Amino acid sequence: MNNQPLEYKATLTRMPNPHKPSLAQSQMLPLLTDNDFEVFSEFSSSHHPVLLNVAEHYQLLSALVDSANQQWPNITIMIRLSMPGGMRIPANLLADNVLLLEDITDEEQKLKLELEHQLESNQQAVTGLLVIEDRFRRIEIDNNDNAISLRLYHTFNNTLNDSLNSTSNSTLSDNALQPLIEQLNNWGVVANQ
Amino acid sequence: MSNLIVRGIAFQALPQPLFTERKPVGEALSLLAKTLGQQVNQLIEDTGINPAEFQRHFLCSTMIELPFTSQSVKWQDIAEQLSEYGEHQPTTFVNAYECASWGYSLRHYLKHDLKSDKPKYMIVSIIDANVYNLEFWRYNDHWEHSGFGITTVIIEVQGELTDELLTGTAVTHNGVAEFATVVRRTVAAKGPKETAPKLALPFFPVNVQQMFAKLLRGQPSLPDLHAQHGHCFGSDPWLSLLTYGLSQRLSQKIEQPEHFMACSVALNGYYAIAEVVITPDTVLTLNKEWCHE
Repeated sequence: MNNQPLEYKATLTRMPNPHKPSLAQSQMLPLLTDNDFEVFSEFSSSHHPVLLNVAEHYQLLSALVDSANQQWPNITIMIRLSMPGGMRIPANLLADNVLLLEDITDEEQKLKLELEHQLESNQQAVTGLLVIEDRFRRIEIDNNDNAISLRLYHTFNNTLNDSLNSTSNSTLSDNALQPLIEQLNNWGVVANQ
Repeated sequence: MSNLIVRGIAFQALPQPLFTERKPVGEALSLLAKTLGQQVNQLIEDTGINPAEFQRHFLCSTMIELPFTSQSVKWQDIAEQLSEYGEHQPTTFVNAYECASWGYSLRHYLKHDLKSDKPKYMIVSIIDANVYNLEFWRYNDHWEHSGFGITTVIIEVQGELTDELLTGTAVTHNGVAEFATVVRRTVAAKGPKETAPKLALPFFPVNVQQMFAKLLRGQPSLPDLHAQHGHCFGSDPWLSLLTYGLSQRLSQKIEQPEHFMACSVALNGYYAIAEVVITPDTVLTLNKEWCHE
């Protein structure tokens, strides 16, 4: 079975809402002792710009999850997301088909195996896997590089023919990710060359 | 009746400060990984469960994020160090759900299993350690003193599950009060107070304890241990069950399985509530407080 995901790699190149004011939401812990100041003075900061705040980051992820849920109902979605948040995560990111992780490496492999097992045994419940892995900079010390990667593993469900190739039920059409890519493009995300 | 049977709980308190002199964060996390690896192996051995039964193992935290956010440490390096203690050690780190991370991890665990429609055994660990010795994490106005430690919990899934595990989030700004209301509603649905599961609640200062007492309307609860331990984040309900179980065992009172609701709430309103059973055979391990030097 071909188990290569459909992949999209891109970079956030500008502020998501360039013509709207954006709150300066960057937060850091209160620094109270000499040690606190010393700790924070030791952190490095990458040369990539901070282009979005936490609220905008959550909005972007929430919109991608809405779109994925609409196209592939009950798809499992893994998102690289970690603290600090500073505000409540949107409800659809807390739903039971979504998992938020600091590092997706190991769980992605496990879910990929689960998916292959389901496909091989022709289980009806197969719903596919979408991985959203971004390293958007939100604060000065996060050392991120504004990169994002989407990976979509096979979906296999008769109700999803629109996103499947007509010749093979287990192969994704090349443009299955297009609705998500268009959303990202609107936010200033541009595909890597 | 709950079909989530606690087969083992281990807790090891971590001192504040962690070291007499702050160590590089990578070194600190490596030392903690070693302690966690040993705790996990000892608990699995004591329960007699074959480690191959565990298909995944999430390590949860509330306040350990800066080492990874700043990319001073890569989680994969820590996972690799943990793997020296076996394949059943934590491979994935979850802190987005803060103190409720253990519940969201178990939810995922229950939903995804290679061998059947659900796992037979689940394992989850929780670590909170003030690796940078930051004052905010030692004490703040939200929950006053923090408590730090490493917890591992092993659960057996016996039979079909219905509503044993509840995860959710508050919709109002007063997340902790809303959480208490959800707990009351959830436990009230289990039956009258006399037979309902006892609550193992998160540890908070007296003012929050008073709010819980009013909103929970006398629902039987295990003692709040904030005065002894401080707020230990996601470990609270498990430390509460461990402490209760050990005290009952000392007085030889655990003769029958007992039902509890393990409850955690995060500052941002995420919560996890699990109805679990402690049996006379549950392994209860309170490790001596960690001391590196």
